[in-house]
Amino acid sequence: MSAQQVRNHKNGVNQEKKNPSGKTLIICDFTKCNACYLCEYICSLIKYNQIRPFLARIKADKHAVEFPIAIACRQCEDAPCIKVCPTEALSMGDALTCDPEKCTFCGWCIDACPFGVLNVDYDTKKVVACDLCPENRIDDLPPCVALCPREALSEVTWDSLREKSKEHLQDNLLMVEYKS
Amino acid sequence: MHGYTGRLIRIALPRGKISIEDIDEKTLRCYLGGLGLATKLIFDEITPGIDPLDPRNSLIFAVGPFAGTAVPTTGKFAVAAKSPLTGFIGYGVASGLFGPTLRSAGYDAIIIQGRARGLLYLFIDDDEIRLHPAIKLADMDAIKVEEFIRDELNDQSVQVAAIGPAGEKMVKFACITLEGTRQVGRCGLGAVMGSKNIKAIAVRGTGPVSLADPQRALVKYRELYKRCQSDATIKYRNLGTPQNVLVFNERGVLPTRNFQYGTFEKAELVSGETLKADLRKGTSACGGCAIGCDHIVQVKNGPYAGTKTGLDYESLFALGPCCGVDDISAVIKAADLCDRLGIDTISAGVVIAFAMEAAEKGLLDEFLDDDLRDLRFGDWSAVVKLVERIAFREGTGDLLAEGSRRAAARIGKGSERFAMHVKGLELPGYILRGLKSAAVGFSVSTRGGCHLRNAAYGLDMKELELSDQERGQKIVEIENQYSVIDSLILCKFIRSAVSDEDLIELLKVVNGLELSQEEFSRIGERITTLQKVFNIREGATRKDDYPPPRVLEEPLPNGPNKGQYIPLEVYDQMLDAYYKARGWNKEGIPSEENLRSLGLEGVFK
Repeated sequence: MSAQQVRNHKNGVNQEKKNPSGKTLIICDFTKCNACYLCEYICSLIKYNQIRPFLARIKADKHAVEFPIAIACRQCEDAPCIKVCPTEALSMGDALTCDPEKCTFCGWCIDACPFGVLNVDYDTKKVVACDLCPENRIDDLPPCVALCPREALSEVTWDSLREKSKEHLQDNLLMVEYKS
Repeated sequence: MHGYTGRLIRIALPRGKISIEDIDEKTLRCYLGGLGLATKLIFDEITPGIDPLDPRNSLIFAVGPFAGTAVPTTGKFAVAAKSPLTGFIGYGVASGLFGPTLRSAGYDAIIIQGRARGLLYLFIDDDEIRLHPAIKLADMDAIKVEEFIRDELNDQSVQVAAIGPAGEKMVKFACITLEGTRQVGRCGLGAVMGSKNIKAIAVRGTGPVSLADPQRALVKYRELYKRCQSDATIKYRNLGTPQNVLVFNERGVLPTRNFQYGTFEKAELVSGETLKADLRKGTSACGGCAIGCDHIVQVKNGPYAGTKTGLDYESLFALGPCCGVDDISAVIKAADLCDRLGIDTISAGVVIAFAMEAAEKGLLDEFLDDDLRDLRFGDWSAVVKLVERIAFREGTGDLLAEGSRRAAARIGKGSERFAMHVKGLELPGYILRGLKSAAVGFSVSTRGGCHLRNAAYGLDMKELELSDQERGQKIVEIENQYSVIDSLILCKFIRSAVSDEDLIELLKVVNGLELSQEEFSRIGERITTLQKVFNIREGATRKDDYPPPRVLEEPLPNGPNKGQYIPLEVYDQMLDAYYKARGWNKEGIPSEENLRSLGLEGVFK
């Protein structure tokens, strides 16, 4: 980032927001997560009435012991999966959705996703991603968030994430400005 | 029934014939699954009297009703075979995603019989089951095997259970390693797998596991996940089992220098507190566990810098205080080597401690490698060297690879008196001279010296004044409960937060299995009794249910329990009371009436 860009960011002059600020996504605090995989089980139980982690929309990862984490669809503002979909089956509403009429399950979206959170459900013939469970909430939260034993998962808005990263950036800005 | 698939895979070697069989519902009602099912299968599969490393031994893997169902702490599976270390029934339970993945693939159990002509690995891929050549995996570190197979199959979600070089070389206490820090540790089940030329079992499962009443199950799960994070489990989430080091040292029951002493002057240096303060990197949980007790530590300095592993109390005591070792980095290195090369840390540590005592007494000269001539307690570099030599059966390691009982028999000269095992299985980290109930519990355990078959040490820790009858009764009760726990399979760390009523309800809403409290309690008794019958069939008698001579004859030389030991007459009475509580005769043989009440009539034919 150039010094000018940094100054702009600090003053709140930002790139144009693509979506309204109310949109949420599920994030995981890796300092609390133990990669127990229970979120995968709960997700599939809610969505399919069976335990089937293969089709869970949130994926746990225990490969790095210092960084256990679970990741669900980031509801990206500039989603690579939507960009590469050749049939325009994917679109972004309150959450990412896939139109089963248009999906040819080519798998390009799965490759394009930098987080590896998309999967194809061959039974329903559509790509599946976290839809934030509008119909199955527990205590007005997605069930994985409500049941996570360590309360590592939370549902947040993009705006709150932006606020947080601004705070982090503020702490480091002095160093950057001085250098320029 | 839900949850269960009701199917098992049978692999017949050397032809490599693979078939799927049904498991009948009655068997599942009587044995539940997991350890119970594995016990039943191994009992039926093999004829008594065979050599455990003979192709006619079978190797059984079995999951329980809760595997893959999101009941917390149920990511587990059981393994059973005739043990090459003890000659009796060998079994173990291990944790991770392997069990649930086997269930998702569509199976409740695996039976492997015979021996392959070359080294193979088994790959269970939902409906497709294949045996792959594993020449490239020969002598490979068990953890690297998982990485290799995942890369070869191009799928990081594949779960792998593997043996290290020790299993291939049929070290008598070789283990099966999975997910880096988890093992089916005891009884030499890795050697049985090696004797069949099976290097690893890989499994990928994408199928569904159904629940009887998903709505009610979800409500129950929520409650249980909360309990897993409550005070009932704080010990495990905080320091973990290494907390025992200072607690036991305080009580004078920390086995030091081959169980000669109950206190270790350097206990602080190898304590759970030191591990957490200096070396902990993070905490992991087994797949499906809402507790999370796997504390990962990493060596910072010295020759073993960078070594990372999950270290629990038993590994810590065996490779640390039991060998007189106070260097925590060396303990971590030795434990990690055991996992990679594939040997049980408890047996390894206790066998090495045995060798150290024998060496100090001048009894081991003809067996010691040149660079080990000065072998003595506290020599941590010798511990690391010996772990490696045991795994590869090199030099002194070849003798020790046989286990302390056989090593002592070869050495002779009275060394049998300090070979610390029961039935050939090395004792875990408790000084039994200070724990009377544990002395009985560990010695009657069907797989040998083991602390996991009953929580008898809990009775001692609570300092209850018990009559022999009460003690016998309580040990029987807990043994029965634990046999059920190991069959569901649930983690013992959640035991205090979950009642029998909870478990019966879970079986109903998860599996649609309705059991009365009476039937439920009977299952544990049935499983433990069948294990006992297996042993009797293999020649076990009353004399196999005794602790080693050190416990019965040597007063503790110092510490809070100074002077204590368990005189033979006292032990005999406690053992009589246990047999009576079980309904067995003085030789420990179940009566026909007892067997009939469990549906086991005619098992002795």
